[in-house]
Amino acid sequence: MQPKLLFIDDDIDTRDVVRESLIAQGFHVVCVQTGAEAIARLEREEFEAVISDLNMPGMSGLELCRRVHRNWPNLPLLVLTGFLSTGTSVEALRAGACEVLSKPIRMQELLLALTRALAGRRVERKHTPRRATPAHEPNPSPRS
Amino acid sequence: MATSAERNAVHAKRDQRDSSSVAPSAGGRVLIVGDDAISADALSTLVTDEGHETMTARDGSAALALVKQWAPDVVITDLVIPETDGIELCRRLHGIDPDLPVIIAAAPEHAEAAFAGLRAGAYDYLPKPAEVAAVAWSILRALERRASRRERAQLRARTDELWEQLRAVNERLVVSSIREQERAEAEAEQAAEVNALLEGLSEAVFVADASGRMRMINHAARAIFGMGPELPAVAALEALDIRDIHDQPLAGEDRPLRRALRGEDFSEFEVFYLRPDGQRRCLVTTGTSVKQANGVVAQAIVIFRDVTSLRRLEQQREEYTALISHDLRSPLNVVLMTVDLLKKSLSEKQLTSDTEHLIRIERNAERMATMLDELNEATSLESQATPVQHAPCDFGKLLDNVIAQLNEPRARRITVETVGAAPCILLADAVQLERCITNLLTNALKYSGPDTPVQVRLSRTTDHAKLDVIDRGIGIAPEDLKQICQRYYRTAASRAQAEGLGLGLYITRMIAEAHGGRIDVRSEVGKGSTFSLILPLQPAAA
Repeated sequence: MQPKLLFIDDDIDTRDVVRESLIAQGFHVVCVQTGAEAIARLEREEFEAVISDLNMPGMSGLELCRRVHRNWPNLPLLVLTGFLSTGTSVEALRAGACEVLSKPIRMQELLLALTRALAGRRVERKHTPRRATPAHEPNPSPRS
Repeated sequence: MATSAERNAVHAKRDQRDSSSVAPSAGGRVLIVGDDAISADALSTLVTDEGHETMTARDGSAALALVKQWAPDVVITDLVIPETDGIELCRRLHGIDPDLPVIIAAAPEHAEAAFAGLRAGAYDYLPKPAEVAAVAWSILRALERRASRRERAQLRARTDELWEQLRAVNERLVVSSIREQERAEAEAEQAAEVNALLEGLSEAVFVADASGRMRMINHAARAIFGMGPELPAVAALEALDIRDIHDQPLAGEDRPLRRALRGEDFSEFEVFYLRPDGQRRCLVTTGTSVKQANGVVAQAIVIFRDVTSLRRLEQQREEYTALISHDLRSPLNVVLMTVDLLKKSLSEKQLTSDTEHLIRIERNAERMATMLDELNEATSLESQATPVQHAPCDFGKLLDNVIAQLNEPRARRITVETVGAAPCILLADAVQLERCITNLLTNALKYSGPDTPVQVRLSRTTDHAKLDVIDRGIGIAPEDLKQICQRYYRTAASRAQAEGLGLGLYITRMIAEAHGGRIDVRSEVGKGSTFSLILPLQPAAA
């Protein structure tokens, strides 16, 4: 089964192109426009990783990170930003992100980061009792 | 030749002296000249009795000698004396002392000759036989005249002296008054110049005395703070709404004038001034004081520079830069990722000729992305939004990392030489330092031929690490050398390459400086360049 990713970006073209690119790499991608939509989807569905833009109207990327990290502490969270500085990176990492990538997105980098994050999640799952993970039934490891 | 009758007459008249109207005065020295000893002695006795000192001379030469030796006040001479006569003697005596009164004694039958003596300068004629009263009177008058002449001469000398002094004093006064005037004029001129200068300044200038009372404010001060032509009162100044950069009212002790009055020197102290009309001005303040020799503040000077529009521009620039470096990324991202998708689908369909076009789009979109990166980085370094994270790092290892990240043909051109003890550990921000090294290496590779080697030498001294990047490339013209590390500066050669924004070396320099180091460049057109990154092993105390 394909790893299911949640991608949040307010720009429709970015959503489309990222979805297409990730699908081409064998992922199942759900795209939403806002942080609030993302929280709503996370509450209903199980995802392997979340990829979010930082600069968004409404709930900011950082706020989304905090909430996701609070409610789903084992869910890998990747952040994309157009303004990569040590400051923003540190802030995003503090908010719970496991990776911060700059735009424009280099597909190789994104894939590397995703692979790393998903591998970490698999290791964590092996060693962590199921109850420690959120109240959602996690999917079995998708990649073969 | 005095007869006894004469002598008797002289003696007979002696007693009349007391009843004489001539008051006895301080005695003088009287020289009596005559060859008749008896007559001369009689006269001498008479004169001595009158309270004078006397000496007698028998002839002219003895008289002259005595005048020189004894300096008599009066000379009484017979008209007829050996060797010469009384008149001739009188002339000679006056040759020695022009004021010396000479009285000529002569018998009445010689009165004519005696009068001739008077014309020749003798003082008086005394008919013989001499009467006591006449002799006494004549001597007294002569003495008085001599005294008064002397006095007059002295007075004259004194007057001359005083006059001379007065003239000198006057001259000094005149000179000094001219100087004084000149100085006053110069001072006034200088004051006017300073005043004009102060009035013309665009900075607001306040000068206060030690009590805080205003001594001077200039036009800009009146304009910025909305003041009238008269000097503002202390209370009016204290009432100005001055705030700190966090918009909190400035505590009394922190107000610029108070600080300057305390003798503090400060500069670039930024405050807000909230005008009564609600307008907010951003002011940069400098303050200092003029102190007396004992260190007590005599005057305080505070200067405000209105940087409101400058700050507005800076803010606009930051916003603008953030806009282009941030917001342009999203569309660029879409372009690049779409190109990537298209490339894959085309290559699956074996449409290689179309792929060429896509690669061109991709290359140029990547270039734009590089420019945005540079802009972003330069802006963030300038605003010091990214503080330098000092951690121990191995300079050699960083260099290896950078070379490893270059593509194979480029990396092969680089030779590394390490001089001195390795590893070279310094306290620095590894990410920034890598960026710095990357910039220097890619520049050297870019501006030299595809097969020419680039030599890298890492060396260290006791307190500095140095990385030389030596290329055999096109070199840099001397006129470009000085500016090459400036913002947006691009040489003709780099414009021809048309890559980046001209911020690469600027960023490199900024990073080096943020670490307390510097970039040195040596270059020769046609021969190549050496860029040296020099960094302290220990960062300077922050």
